Amino acid sequence: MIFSSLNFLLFFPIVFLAYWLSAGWLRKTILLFASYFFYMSWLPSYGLLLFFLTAANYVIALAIEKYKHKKAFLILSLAVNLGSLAYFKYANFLFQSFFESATATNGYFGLIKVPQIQPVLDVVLPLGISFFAFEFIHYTVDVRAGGKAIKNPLDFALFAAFFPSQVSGPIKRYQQFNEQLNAPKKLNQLDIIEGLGLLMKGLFKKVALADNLAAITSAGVYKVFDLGTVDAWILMFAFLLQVYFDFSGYTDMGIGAARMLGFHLPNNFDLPYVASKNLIEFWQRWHITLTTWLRDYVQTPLTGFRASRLRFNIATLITMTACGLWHGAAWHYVAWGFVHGVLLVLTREYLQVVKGSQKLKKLHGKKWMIPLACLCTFITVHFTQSLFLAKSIDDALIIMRSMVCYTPSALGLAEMFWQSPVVVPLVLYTLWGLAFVEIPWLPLKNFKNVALVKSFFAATPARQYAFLVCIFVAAIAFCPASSSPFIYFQF
Amino acid sequence: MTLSTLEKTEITGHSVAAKKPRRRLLSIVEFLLFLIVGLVLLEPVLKLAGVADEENYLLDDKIGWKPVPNRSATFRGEGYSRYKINSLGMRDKERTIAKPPNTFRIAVIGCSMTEGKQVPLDNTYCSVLEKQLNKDGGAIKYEVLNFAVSAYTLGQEYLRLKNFALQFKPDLVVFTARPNALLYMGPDLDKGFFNARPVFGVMPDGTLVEDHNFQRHWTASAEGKRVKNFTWLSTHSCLYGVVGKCAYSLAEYKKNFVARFYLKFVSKQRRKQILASLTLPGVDVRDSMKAQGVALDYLGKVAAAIVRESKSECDKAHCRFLLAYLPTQTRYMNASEQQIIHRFSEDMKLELVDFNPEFEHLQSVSLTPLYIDIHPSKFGHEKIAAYLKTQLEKKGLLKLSNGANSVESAVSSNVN
Repeated sequence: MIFSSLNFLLFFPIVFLAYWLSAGWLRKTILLFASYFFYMSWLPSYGLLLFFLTAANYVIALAIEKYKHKKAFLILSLAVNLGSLAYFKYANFLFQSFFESATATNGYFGLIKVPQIQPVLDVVLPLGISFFAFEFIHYTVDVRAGGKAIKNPLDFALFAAFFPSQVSGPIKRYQQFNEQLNAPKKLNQLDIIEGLGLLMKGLFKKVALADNLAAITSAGVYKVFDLGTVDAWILMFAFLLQVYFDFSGYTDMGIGAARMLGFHLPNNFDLPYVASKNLIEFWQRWHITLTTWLRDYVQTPLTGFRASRLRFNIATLITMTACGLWHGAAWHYVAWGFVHGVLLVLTREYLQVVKGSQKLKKLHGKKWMIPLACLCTFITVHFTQSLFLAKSIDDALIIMRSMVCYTPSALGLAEMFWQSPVVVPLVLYTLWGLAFVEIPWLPLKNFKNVALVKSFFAATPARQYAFLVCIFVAAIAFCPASSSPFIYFQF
Repeated sequence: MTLSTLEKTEITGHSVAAKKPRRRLLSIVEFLLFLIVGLVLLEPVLKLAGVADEENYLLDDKIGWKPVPNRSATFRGEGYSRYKINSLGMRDKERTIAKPPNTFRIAVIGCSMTEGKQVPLDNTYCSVLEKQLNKDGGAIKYEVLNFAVSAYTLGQEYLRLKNFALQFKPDLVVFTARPNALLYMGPDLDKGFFNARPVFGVMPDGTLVEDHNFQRHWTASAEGKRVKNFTWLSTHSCLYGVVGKCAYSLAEYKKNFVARFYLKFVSKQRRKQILASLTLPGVDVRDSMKAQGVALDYLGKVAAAIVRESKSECDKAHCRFLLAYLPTQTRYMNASEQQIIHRFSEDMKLELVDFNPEFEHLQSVSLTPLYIDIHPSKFGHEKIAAYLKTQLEKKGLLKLSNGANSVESAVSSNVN
């Protein structure tokens, strides 16, 4: 069941009504039941895996808290979580890489016999496994560091299975979630309006924008040899927007659904494409919950709290390479993560240089420099994202070459983009963004008219509901006949 | 002295209670007012984007469906393109039914492969062919009229030719068969709207028969009635397209959850009745590869009868007839179908252009893609036009049927 499906349109109102109409003590059970139903609608056996991991981590965390051998239990927890992640997500990748390298080196110089037909494990990747494995790791590591383990199994099961954040995050922190879970809740209009607003905004982003951009992306990505220069830039531009609208749309819907049930999930995006002055800031604004998770549970353990610059930079490289691998079991994802790691190191070094130079400081302090820096960051992400989009490193290099060396357009992606129905919703979304979102370097809030528009729509709940219905209608209208699955489901 | 909130509520409680329903009513009115204004503003936005008018066809009792005249929309199948249907309901520029003087008219009958919604109008092979034929600027003007409509079967093409295209007095009819045309001749069990099409069969003596049972069956359904009764709205409002889209999605949803089990659980007799309403055996031939051999043989006879009737209509109207077997990617090719088409064309002594051998070669040498997926790309349309032109010239089909060598000479002889 995906948030933008008819199934969810039927499922969520039922859960919402059942949740708010039932007595307080029953609500957690209803949510847990709904969450398992939601997860098992993909494949019933997935539920068993989720249940097993939940039970294992619940017991291990209690053991960490109670017994002396905390480190051993933590290692056991990591083995369970990373082991299941490795098996379901990376086993075939490891097999394939092993046999490919063995073939290339003639069976590691004759040491092993390479079979002609390479074995492939028949494994179906359980949806969201990366997300809930990360949540479990955070939980056991924090308990090991002195945090309190969750005693109530129902609470812990719900932390793991909570359907609004189950499949694609945001990656929750158990401290905040548990606190909210046990706080008394009352249905209020603000939560409904804001939750519905996020649901509609997410739906619009997904079906009106991302799904329409998907056709342009798929027209180019399978024909990289035919890409001209303009095609390559348009392809990457379309993909960059698609991946943002797709993922942030899903997250908005998740946060919105949670909000309507009285939960506040952490934000995952903060204008990454328009407000990031450098790549470090980009990663602070893009998939925030993953970045902070990587910082807390990969980079910090590698560096310690007082690390040398060299150690910090090496830790950054390792963290970002792991980040790439997390995104997908393929070498082009690893390369993408590594390249971003290198760029982050270079950015950090450059910022050190700026710190020490008055001239550069002055230059970077100029007003026009901020949008220019944002543009440069956008172009950098635009360019490197080809490693993320392409099906292999070779394909990515072909896309990059097409972007740099001029070749005439063969696929006509620019024409396709202009003819597509995505331009109008993109303009609508931009107008909405200008009116309602504060872009740091664009002080539109000072304009009276913008403030007027904002207050006009937000004046009464009736107007807001009417506005939301219009967004819903527009989303359906722009939705293409076949909706594509969420990109981040595969991660 | 200040009053606490509780005291305030107690004192003014009566008036607040009286105001509450009125306030609620005002909120509802405000909501509706803003909703209406919002939707009214949304209509031109959707029009501008060319979306939400999925009901691009009008139901038609005879042929199944026809394009909505003057409809402009964005095609969102394989890629995107803005297209416009002309006032006569053709994916073509504005034409007149009456043939202009000194004009050689070619009517191209076909389906989506010819309609070419995936590419701009100027890039469809009909437009390109017209441009190429008129390039020399002779005394005679060539018109290549595009009568193709998406998802038409060979049977529907025959009806389009007989009831519509021949009114334009063409000098040559290019009757196209898409790849896998035979397999797409049955009722389409998967698609709601496209069920509403006549199905063709052939009697043991070879007579072509037309069956509207399946079409009537669908038109009598709730979805069929909705489409039929709200024609005005669906042709004039993009927003109504949202209703259509929702209705279609709901119908699909219902179909998946209920109707898929329906045939399994109804009585044998009812199942027989439903199946008997279909001329063809109650199987979706595309899904049943095993049935292909048997079905193709039968469908080949139906196709032959359709083509024979189409040719005979053209003969009556004194225009030439060419059967064109359009190209497809090698992986979609159906060699058995190709053989059947070649066999009956030979039997009937038809002029046939099979694009596939040429395009198979082109596909292997061309760096530019010929197809988007199933449908031809801009480059593919260009190549179809070029090959068709060569074949028309080679077969001498650009000659008038009165015996003159060419239109030019016919005109000059008329002038003399």
